[in-house]
Amino acid sequence: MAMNKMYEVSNRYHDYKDYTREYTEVGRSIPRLDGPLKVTGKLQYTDDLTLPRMVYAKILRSPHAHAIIKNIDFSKALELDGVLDVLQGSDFPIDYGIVAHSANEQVLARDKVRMWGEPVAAVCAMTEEIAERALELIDVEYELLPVVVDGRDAERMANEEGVLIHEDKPGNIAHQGKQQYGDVDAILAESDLVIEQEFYSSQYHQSFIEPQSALADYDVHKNKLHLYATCQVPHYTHQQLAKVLQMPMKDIRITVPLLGGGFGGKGVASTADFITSKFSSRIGRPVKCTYERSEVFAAHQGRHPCYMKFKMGFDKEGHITAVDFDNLMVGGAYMSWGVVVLFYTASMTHLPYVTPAAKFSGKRVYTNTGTCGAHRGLGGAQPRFAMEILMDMAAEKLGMTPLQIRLLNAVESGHTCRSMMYVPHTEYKKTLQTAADNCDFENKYGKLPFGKGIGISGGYYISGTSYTLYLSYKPHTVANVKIEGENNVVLYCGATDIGQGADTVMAQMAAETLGVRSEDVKVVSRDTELATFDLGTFASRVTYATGWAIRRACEAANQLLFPVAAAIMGCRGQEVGVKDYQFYSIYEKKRKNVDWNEVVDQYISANGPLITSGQFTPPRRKGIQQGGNIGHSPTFGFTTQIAEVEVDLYTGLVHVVKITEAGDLGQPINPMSCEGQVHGSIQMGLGNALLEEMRYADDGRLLNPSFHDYKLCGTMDMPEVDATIVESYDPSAPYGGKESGEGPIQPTPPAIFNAVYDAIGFRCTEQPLTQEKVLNYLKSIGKNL
Amino acid sequence: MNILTPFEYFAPETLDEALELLATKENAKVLAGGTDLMIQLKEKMIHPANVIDVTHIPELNEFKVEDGKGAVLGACTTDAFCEFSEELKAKYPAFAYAAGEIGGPQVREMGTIGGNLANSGPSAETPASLICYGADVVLVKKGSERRLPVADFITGNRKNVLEEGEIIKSIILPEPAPNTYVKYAYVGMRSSMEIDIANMAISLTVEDGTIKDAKCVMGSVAIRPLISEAVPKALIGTKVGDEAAIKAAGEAAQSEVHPITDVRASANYRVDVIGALARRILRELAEEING
Repeated sequence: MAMNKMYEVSNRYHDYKDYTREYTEVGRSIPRLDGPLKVTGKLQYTDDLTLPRMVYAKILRSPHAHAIIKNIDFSKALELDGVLDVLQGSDFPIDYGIVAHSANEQVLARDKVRMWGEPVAAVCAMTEEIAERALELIDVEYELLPVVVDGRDAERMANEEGVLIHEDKPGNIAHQGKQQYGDVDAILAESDLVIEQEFYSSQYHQSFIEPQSALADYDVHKNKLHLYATCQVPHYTHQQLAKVLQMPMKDIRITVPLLGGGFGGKGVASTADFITSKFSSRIGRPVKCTYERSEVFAAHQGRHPCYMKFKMGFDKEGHITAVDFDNLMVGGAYMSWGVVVLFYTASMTHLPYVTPAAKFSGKRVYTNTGTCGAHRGLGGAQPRFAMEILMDMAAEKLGMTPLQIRLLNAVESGHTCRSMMYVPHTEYKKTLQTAADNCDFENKYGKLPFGKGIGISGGYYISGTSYTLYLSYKPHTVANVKIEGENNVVLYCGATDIGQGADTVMAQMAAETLGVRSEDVKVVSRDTELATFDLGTFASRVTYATGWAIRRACEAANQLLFPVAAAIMGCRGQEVGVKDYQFYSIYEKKRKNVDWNEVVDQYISANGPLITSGQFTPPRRKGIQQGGNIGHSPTFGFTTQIAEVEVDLYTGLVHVVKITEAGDLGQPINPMSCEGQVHGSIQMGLGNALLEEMRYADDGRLLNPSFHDYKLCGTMDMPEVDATIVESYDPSAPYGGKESGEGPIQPTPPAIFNAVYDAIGFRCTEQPLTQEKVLNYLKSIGKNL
Repeated sequence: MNILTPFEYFAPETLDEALELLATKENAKVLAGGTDLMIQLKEKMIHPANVIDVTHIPELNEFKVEDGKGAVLGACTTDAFCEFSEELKAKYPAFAYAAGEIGGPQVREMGTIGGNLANSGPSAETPASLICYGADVVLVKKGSERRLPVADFITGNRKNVLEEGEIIKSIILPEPAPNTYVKYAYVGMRSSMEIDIANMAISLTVEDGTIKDAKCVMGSVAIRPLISEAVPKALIGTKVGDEAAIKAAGEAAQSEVHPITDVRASANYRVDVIGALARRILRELAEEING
C-alpha cells in the first residue's frame, strides 16, 4: 500500500493493519478451542463437579402464586435420616437484585409468596434423594390471596380491589417512565399518514440447555467462600453475595465453570447461589444445588411480555415523521432487570430508521407470574416486532414495497438520534439490499400464490452499554497479558464465555496483535480471583469491550518487544510488524525479520517478566436526559432477515421454509462463530414467533414448566438459512467488529408475521402466531381446505 | 428429579418366569422401553414396589412377516424397528409411518409398540392405524392367554383391559385385504418430539373406483381411540375422490368427537382439524388410488 494512503487513513484507523485488513488471526473461522473437549464430555460444567465431603441442597417452592406464609414446620423433615440443615426466609433478611437501587428479590420468601414456584425453604442433606424427600416433609401453612395473572388487570386490581403484590408499590406499578423528543402530537397531526395499531409480544423463556447450578465451598477456618456457579455476570453476583451474606467481597471468589447457554437468563444471581453458600458456611462442607427444569421455568428471568400501543407517522414520500409508543410491560413478581428493560424498549424505537420525533410512555407492572428479566436482545425484540409490522403496513398504504420504505428510512453511519444515541457506523442499507437480492424479494413479494408468502424485517442491537448498573467510573473490562518462554502467551480476562465462544474469540484477538497463533493463547477467564475485572456477559458487550482491553494490553507488550526486535534486526522500533511468530521490518520483511520466541527470550533475560495490561471504558455522551442513557452503546450491529413461509391451509400450521439473512457485524472476528449466532437466533426466533408462550392458569400456576409442554422449535423445524456477512468494518471497534448475537433475534418474528400476511392476508399482531389463530382466519375468509 | 420410590428390579429371561413374577409380586409395574414409565416414576405419579423388565423375553421380541399370513410383532418390538422395517413399510405403510412419528429418534430406539398400547394415552400414535388394519393383541398371564382386537383393548384415558398380572405378548396384524388402502395423518405443533393435537387413520376398500368398505379411527379427540361410525357411512358407496363425500366425511368426523382444551390446543381447534385431517387423508388417498 502506498505510504501516502497510509498517512491519509491514519487519523481514521487505529493502524495500517485495520485499514488494509491484513488480519491473520482475526477473521479465521476456527472451531471453538474447547469444542472437542466439550463434545466428548471431558470438560465439566457446574453440575459435573464434585468436591470431597460434598452434600446436596434442594429448594421447596410455593405451589401458590400469591399467599401469606403463616407457618413453616420443619420438624418432620429434620427427623429424616441424612438431613443436615434447613433454611427459610428469615435466614436471609437482606434483599438482592441485579439493579442495586431497585433490588427487591428475596432469597427465600419472607412472610408471603408472590409467584408460583417462588423459593420458600431449602434443605441440605447427604444425598439429593434425601433432600428431595425432605421437601415433601416440610409443612407450610399458606393463606391464599387474590391473584393478578393478566398484566392489564394489575393496576385496576390494586386500585379497586386492594390487591397489592408489593405493599410499597401502589397500583402494582414497579416503575414508570416517560420520554419526549419533539412535539410528537403536533407532528402526527400534520403527518400524511398515521398508522395506529396495538401489539402483544408474549412471555417466553431462554430455554438454555444447562439448568442453573451452584456449588459453594466455604472455608470455615479462613471465613472465605468459593462459589462455582452458572452465572453470566460473576461481578454482579459477587456484589450481591457480599450484600446478602454480609461478607466483604475480598472473601468471596466466584468461579464460573463452562456454561451451557444463558441468553440473559443467567444474568442474575440464582437462589441456588445464596442457599448453597449459606449452607456451606453453616455446616462447613461443600454444598451443591442444581435446578430441575421446572425450577428453571419457575425462576424464569425471560422475556417481558408487552402490550404495546403505537402511533407511527409518515410523510407522503414514506419518511417516518414521529413515533408515539405506549408500553405496558408485564414484569412478574419481582424487579430483576425491569427498569433497564423498560427504558430499553423506549430507546429501541429510535433505530434503525431515522426517527425525527419520538414519545414514550411506559409502565412495568407487577403480576403474580414468573419474574421477567434480561432475554437475548432485551427491550429490543418487543418494539422491533411492532415497528417492523408497522413499516409494512405503512408501505402498503403508501404504495411502496417493504424494501423501499426501509431503504428510504434506514440510518447511515454518523447518525445521531433525537435521544442523542450516536451510531458511529452502519451498513444497515447494505444488509437490506443484500438480503433482498439474495432471495429475489422484490419479485416475490405480493406475487406468490395464496398460502405462500415472503416477509422482510430489519433489526439491530447495541454492542455494549455506556453505563454500569451502579454509579461507577472504573473500567468496564481489564485484560492482562503474560508472555514467557515457559507458557507462551497467557491472557487473563474475566469475561464470561456462556457458550457464545468468547474464550476463542479473545484468544484470536490477542493472537492477532501479538502475532502468534490463536490456538497457542491460553485464556484465563470466568474467575473473579484469577482473572481480571469484567462486568459480565450482557448487552453484546464482550467482543467489543474485551477487544479494546486485549488489544491495548497486547499493544503494550509489543511496545516492549518491538525495540528489542528492532535492535536485533537493525531498524527503527516504529517500523516493526509482527505476524506468524515473526517480527519483521514493515519495509523490508524478507531481509529483516527475527523469530518471535528469540525476541521474547531476549526481552525477559534483559528486563524480567513481561506482563502488560489494557482496559476499556465506553465513551459517554453529552446532552442525555429522560433516562435516555439506557440504550447508548459504543456502536451497533445491524441485520436484515427475509422469511419465506408456506401455510398449511388444512391446519393453519406455518412452515418457515427459508430465511435469508444479511448481517452488518463489522469485521467478524470468527465468521464461523458469527454464523452460529445467526442460526441460533433464527431457531430461537422461530419458536418465539410460532410456538413459545409461558401459560398461566387463572390461579397463577405455570401450566407448561417443561420441554414436554413448553414447545421449542427443533432442528427438524429449521428452515434453510442463507446467511451473509456483508462487507463492513467499524473503525471505532477494536478489530472492526460489532455484535452478532442479539441483533439477529429481533427480525425473525416480524419477518415471519409479515410473510404470513403476504401468504394469506392475515395481519396478526399478537404473538405467538399459532396454527389455531391462522386456521381461524382462514375459516373466516372461507379459504381453509 | 429423582426416583424416590424404592423398588425391586427383576429382569426375567423367560416368559414363564415373568408371568410367575407378575402373579406373585405385589404392586408391580412392567418395564419395556421405559419412555413413559421412567417419567411417571420421576414425576412421582406411580410408586411401584416391583419393576419387572420384560425386554429379555424371547416371545416378546418375536418378529414375523410372511407372505399371505400377515405379521406378528412381539410387544417389545421397538418403534424404530417398525419405522425402518422394509417388510412393514411394504405391507402396513400407515403403521410404519405412525411408529416413525413417535417422539424423536432416541425415544423410538427405546420405546416399544406394546408399550405405546399399554400406556393407553389418548394421543398415542399407533392405535389408529393398527385398528384400521384390523390388528389383534395377544395378552398373557400365568395360566392363560387371550386374543382380542386392538379396538377393544384401550378403554379410557390410560385405561385398558389388562388384568392384574397380565401383559401384552404380541400384536397380530392380518394380511391386508385386497384393494384396501390405509393412511395415517396427525396434527402437531412441530416436526419432532410431538404430542398429537389430533390424529387419524382411514382405511378404504375400493372396487371399480367405488368405496366398498371404510374405517376411520381418531386419536386425541376423546378419552380413547374413537372408532367412527359416521365417517364410513358418509363414504361407503361413493366414488373415491368425490368432493361432496369428502366434505361430508369431514363433517361426520367432527360430529363424533368430544375433545378437551389443554395446553396444546383448544377443543374448537381439535374439532376443526379432525375434519381437516379427514379431508386431507381422503384427498391424498384419492390421488394414490386414482393415480
